[in-house]
Amino acid sequence: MTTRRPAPSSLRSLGDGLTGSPALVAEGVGLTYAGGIEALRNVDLTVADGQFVSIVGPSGCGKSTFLKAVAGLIPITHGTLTLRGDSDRRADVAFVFQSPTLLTWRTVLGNVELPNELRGGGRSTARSHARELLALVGLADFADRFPSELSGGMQMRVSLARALMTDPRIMLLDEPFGALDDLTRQRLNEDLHRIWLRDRWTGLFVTHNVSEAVYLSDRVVVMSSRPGQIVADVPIELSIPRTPDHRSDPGFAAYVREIGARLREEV
Amino acid sequence: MAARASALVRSALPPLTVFLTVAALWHGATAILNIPAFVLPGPADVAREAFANGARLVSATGLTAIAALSGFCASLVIGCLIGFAFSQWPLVRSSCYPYAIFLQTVPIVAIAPLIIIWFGTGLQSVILVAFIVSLFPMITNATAGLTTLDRDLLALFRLYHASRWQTLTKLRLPAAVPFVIAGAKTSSGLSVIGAIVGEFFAGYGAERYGLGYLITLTSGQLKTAYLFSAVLCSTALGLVMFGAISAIGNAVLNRWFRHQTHG
Repeated sequence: MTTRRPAPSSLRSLGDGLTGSPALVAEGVGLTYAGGIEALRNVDLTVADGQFVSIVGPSGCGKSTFLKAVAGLIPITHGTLTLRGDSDRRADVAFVFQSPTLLTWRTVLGNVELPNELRGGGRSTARSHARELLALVGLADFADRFPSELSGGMQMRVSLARALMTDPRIMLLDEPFGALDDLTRQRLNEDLHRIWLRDRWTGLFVTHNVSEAVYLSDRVVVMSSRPGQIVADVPIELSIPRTPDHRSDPGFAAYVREIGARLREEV
Repeated sequence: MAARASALVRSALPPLTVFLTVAALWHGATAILNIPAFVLPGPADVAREAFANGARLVSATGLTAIAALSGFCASLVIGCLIGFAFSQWPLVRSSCYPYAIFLQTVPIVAIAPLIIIWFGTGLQSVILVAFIVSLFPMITNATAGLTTLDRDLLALFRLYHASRWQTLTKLRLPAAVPFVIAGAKTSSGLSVIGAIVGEFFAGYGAERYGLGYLITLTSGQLKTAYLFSAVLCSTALGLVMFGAISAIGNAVLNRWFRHQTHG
């Protein structure tokens, strides 16, 4: 286990030879709210293009805040944040929230098409793209249902499909499966992993579930309690693609134990 | 079908029992205590008067219904427009809201005569009173609906660079509908009260009058049983208005706004 790995070596942990400019570079990022509460302090994080990184930390440590700052939803007060070498941080980014955040008055299909509508894209291609994405998340038969007719897990799948609608290069996921039961969560982990393997967008995934973080990620980053700082950066060197069998792998268990122990120091 | 019918019987039976019990006690009390009919008529007297004056009661209820419904529709439309203005321009809200509260606190009985003086007797004044009485809940609910929003949904719209217009039409307006429905339920009952209060002061002229006028008329003549039947018609009208608006509102809510489950 390595603490405070410098950025270049973490780039190499990817193992499948992706190169080019990093998807995300955070340098000395700090965020202090107007009331004086310091949410983040001196966060350095570099994520290579196509990498999947999870951020774990105690509740209220600022990991969600960091994700929202990356999305440009909250302004940072110190340091710099660059996405794909671009200062316009909202480009190519999709965000999956803790709750499904669906429009209840729209059908499932209408919800998935929303990002395209807001960006003023063409309607006909959008419809077929939305239907493809619904099939990808296993909801092909639910296109014309309303969100209220779906279970929590299915609503989260709609939320995922909606995020994929604009073919994002960076996916920010803020504890998307936190409200789901274990079995549903594991199924969604497997599906999310499958989609990531298909598209190879860069993933930044916030969770407090260590097992989920290890299952999905190339790297797991541990954040301290407030003000949030990165205190550990653990490359997960398990074979890809991950399969449900990995969960019973001794190496997997060792990662979960190590990161869990590191996390408990922070609580 | 049979199950549905029995469910209807089950839900209707307890209130029906209460109704019959109260009517029986009421009838017994007036008969045994020998209360004069002009003080407290028995249920039989009320029923007799209601049937004897059926045509008049129906036409009065119809006229009051027209006034109440017009006042309600006006407050629905204008209340939503004012709520919209309040939500879009905070300055408008902060400068006008105290005067909107005035609508809520002013005793309508006190200003109804003024309205008659300014706008004359007749339907227009009665509608205006019904409108004033039912406007406030529409304003507050529409304003709340347009300003209370899920923060993450708003963030989602920002993330996709939604224009102000898109955020309004695709998020704020639809999200406000449940609030507007809640306001409309309250307003519908109030509009009936407003119409009747308006009619205390203004008839519609030439033998055409609503329930409010009928109530003042019959109380002046001590036709208490007739008065009772007019009061019952007012109550029934209020219930029908509220029931109809609630039914429409609930149908809309069930279709589009059922809360999302998280399990």
